[in-house]
Amino acid sequence: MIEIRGLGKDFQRAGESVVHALRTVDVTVERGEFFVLLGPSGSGKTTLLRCVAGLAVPDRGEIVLDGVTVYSGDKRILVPPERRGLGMVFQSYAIWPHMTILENVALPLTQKRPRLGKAEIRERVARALALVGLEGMEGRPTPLLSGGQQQRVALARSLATEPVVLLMDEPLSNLDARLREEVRKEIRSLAARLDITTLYVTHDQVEAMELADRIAVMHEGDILQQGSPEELYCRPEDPRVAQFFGSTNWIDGRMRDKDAVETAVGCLAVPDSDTRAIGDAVVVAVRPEDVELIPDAPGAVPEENYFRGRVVSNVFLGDHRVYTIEVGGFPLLARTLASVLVGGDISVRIPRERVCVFRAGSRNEIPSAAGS
Amino acid sequence: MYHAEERGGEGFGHSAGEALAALRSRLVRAVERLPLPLVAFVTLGLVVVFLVVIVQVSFQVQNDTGTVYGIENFRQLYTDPFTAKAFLNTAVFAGVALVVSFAFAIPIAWLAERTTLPGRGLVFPLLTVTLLVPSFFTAMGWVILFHPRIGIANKALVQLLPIEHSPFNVISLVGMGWVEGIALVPLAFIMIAASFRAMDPALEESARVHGIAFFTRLRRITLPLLTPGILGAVLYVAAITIAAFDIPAIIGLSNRIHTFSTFVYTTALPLEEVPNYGLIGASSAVMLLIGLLLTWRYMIVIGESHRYAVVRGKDYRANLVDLGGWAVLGWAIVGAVIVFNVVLPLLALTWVSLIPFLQVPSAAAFQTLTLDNFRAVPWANLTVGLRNSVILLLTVPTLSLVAGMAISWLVIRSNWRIARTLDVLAFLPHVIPNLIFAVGAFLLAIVWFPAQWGLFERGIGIIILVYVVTRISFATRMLNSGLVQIHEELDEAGYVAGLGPLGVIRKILIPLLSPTLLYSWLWMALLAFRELTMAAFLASRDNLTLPVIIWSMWTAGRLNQAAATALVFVALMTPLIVLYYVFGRRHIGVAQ
Ligand SMILES: Nc1ncnc2c1ncn2[C@@H]1O[C@H](COP(=O)(O)OP(=O)(O)OP(=O)(O)O)[C@@H](O)[C@H]1O
Ligand SMILES: [Mg+2]
Repeated sequence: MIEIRGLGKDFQRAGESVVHALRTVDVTVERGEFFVLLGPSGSGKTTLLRCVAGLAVPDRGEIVLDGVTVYSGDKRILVPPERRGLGMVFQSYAIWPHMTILENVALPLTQKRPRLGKAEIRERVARALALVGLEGMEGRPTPLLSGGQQQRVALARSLATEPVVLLMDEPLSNLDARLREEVRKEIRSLAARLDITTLYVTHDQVEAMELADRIAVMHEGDILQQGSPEELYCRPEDPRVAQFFGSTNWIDGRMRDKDAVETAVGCLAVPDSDTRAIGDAVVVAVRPEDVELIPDAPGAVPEENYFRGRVVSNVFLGDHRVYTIEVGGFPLLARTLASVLVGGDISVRIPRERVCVFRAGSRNEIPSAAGS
Repeated sequence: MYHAEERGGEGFGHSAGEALAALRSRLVRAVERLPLPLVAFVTLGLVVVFLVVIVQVSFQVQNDTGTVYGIENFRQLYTDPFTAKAFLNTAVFAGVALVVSFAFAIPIAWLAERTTLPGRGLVFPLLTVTLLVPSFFTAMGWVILFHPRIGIANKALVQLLPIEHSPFNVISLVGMGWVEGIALVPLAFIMIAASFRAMDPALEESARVHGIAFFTRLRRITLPLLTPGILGAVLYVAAITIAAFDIPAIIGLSNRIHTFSTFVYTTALPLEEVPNYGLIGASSAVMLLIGLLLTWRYMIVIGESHRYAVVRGKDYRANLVDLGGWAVLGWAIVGAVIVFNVVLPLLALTWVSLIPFLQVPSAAAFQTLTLDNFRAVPWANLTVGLRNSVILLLTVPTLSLVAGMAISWLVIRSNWRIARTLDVLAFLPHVIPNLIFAVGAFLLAIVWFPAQWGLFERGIGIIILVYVVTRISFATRMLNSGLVQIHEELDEAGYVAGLGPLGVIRKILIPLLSPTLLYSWLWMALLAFRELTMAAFLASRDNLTLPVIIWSMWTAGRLNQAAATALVFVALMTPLIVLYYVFGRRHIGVAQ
């Protein structure tokens, strides 16, 4: 439905160095799929979305929407945004303040060719408003609408023409936390109901996980990894992806065997890998919730990845606690519901299949502000 | 910006029909995207052409073999004592005018922006309206009152006071400079008030908190911070005064006190010999050079803000100085400006329009009161003048806004490389005197086009063009600042909704800009209506405007009739001024 191939765009401001907003981006979004672009600020998400909309002109590559090439650097094709037949929800909502709700939602319909009749337009507006729960509000002027209502008008406006592709750029970032959660659910169910292909931009990984069929994680104009939320969370291919989905224990080490790493914590059994040679410097990622705490029971059988340590501190976070366990001098974070005594000895177990191994040094490229 | 549109899966089965459809959609797209650059280029092209023709003509020398190029004109300009005198006069005239205008404008701006002067909110609208009173009107009033021989105020003073000679002489460089300066106070005030407003009051407050006394504060904090603003205003007003035409033409021309503008005028339209176009070109080229230097300095002084006319400051005004009883003096200063600009001239012209010849008001004089002057006004002529003035009033602001919209849209909304250049070109008429553009158009019509085309005699069209070109900087400043305040996503939502650039402008930008558009339209309409300088330079039998008719009566010595007509003119203008006042009060900081 949306095919993006080798897309690149650079910005050059007078007197400044070139910014590679998009390097070489390849993305394919299937029909009816909800696809989320996730990444830290400045990673090029908005730029990519605007290229798809036609509001920004790429420098190279190709974009095909529903079988129609709308941009091709080689063939010098560029379809302007008004001919792409898309729906789009802007971050500021971009509700035209001099028009009523009716006029806002009707304007895209009046531009359709062949022309629609007046009655038809009214009916379609009513249908779009009903979809977002604003039925009967046609005549209301727009400047006095609340943020949530504006958001709905923007959504209705983008859906009124029944576009095959819907683009959204951080549509929830101007709403307060409660409303955000509510509208998020509505968007998800609306998209599923209308079977519309959606490209959605956000920097909030919770939002991405909840909405997406698939996610692409962007970083400095590149796509680090794309896949289902579960794939990205459990099998990150890049430390920056792991970093993005919540806090992580990063442990430096060296390959001792093709399925074992020597670290400060001890010798860690890891999933089999052929890509690394014995002796390679690596970094290991373990999520705090994967660190199992096992109260010391005398005579317990030592299992794989079973280490002894001491509880040094405890943070209470309401529905869970985060403990810092010192293992072999390494402060290991563990997330759990259980309550253990600070200062006491404890055993921890790290399931082998939950350990991710990355090339050493790649962690230095992680932006410190990433994640949430 | 855009290249082409093509269907995917290309290559196969492109029937003739499809090819035709593709061609048609390309054509439609080109037509949609052409008008904006086209309008922008034509308008700014005119700016350049008017200036280029001046430079070209300045190097043209007539000799036996025809036209050759050389620096003969500049040599003549340099050696001719008459020209040298005109330039020297201009310097004195402009110097006096600058001192007078800023001596009033700086204190008034301070009063209006930084003190508790009662009713200080009125200062701005009052002076803006004063600015609209044509300066030829003011100048006529001053000549009637303070002519050394026949001035009625002078005569009255000689009668009343134990003096033998007229105390004031307005027919002099200093007199002319004084009237010009007074007439420019509102403009200088508006610009300085804007810089006062843009200044962060916290800077003054912190000085106050640290125990720095009022005058030290003024000297060490306030004035240094204002310096760029004041300097910018000085450069701007200087450019206006050195090329000012109205006042020198009313006061100096018939008394052979020439400044640059009247010198060029008499050279261009001499009574006897053939006009020396080369000399006009050369003197205008010199002025143009001065204008460009001023523009350049001005842009450095005011930095990026030259792209926007409106300087919006913080809304809170702390640190207001309590004037106490001195408020009376404050209003006396403001009142003096209004009296000198409007009240005195209005009284003088009213009186003169009602009497058969100049005389001091007295019982005997009141016996001679008559409406004959109004009856003697050539109403037929005046009707033609009125028609022309109304045409200008309607077309100039409209065309200026159309052209301004095209340019501002390209400057603010497109990321076209040359947009920056367009902006600088559009800014040129801000500081380069209007007179220069009038001269450019005059030379263009005469030198570039065959005489038999009679482009110059061809009526009002050429005047409209020149007016539009000179207003383009104002229009683009207003629209630039209007456009940057409209969130760009509102446009983008329009594109995604299926509107092209023209559709977005029509359906989204124009409605949102309508207050700015209305206000700018009214302002430019008023300026077009009262403009004398450019209309006088480009006057021909068929395109006389009301101000030109009044001025020619005046120069022909028919003072009483000219006064009567001027009153009619001001009466016609009043409803427009009221309209402007009603709509314009909410807008601030217009610089031009
Ligand atoms: N018009 C522009 N001119 C110059 N640089 C730009 C422009 N637009 C974007 N950039 C640069 O391109 C890079 C990517 O920007 P983009 O807006 O796509 O990021 P983003 O992922 O949407 O970030 P955010 O989450 O903050 O919205 C940034 O470095 C940005 O500074
Ligand atoms: Mg963004």
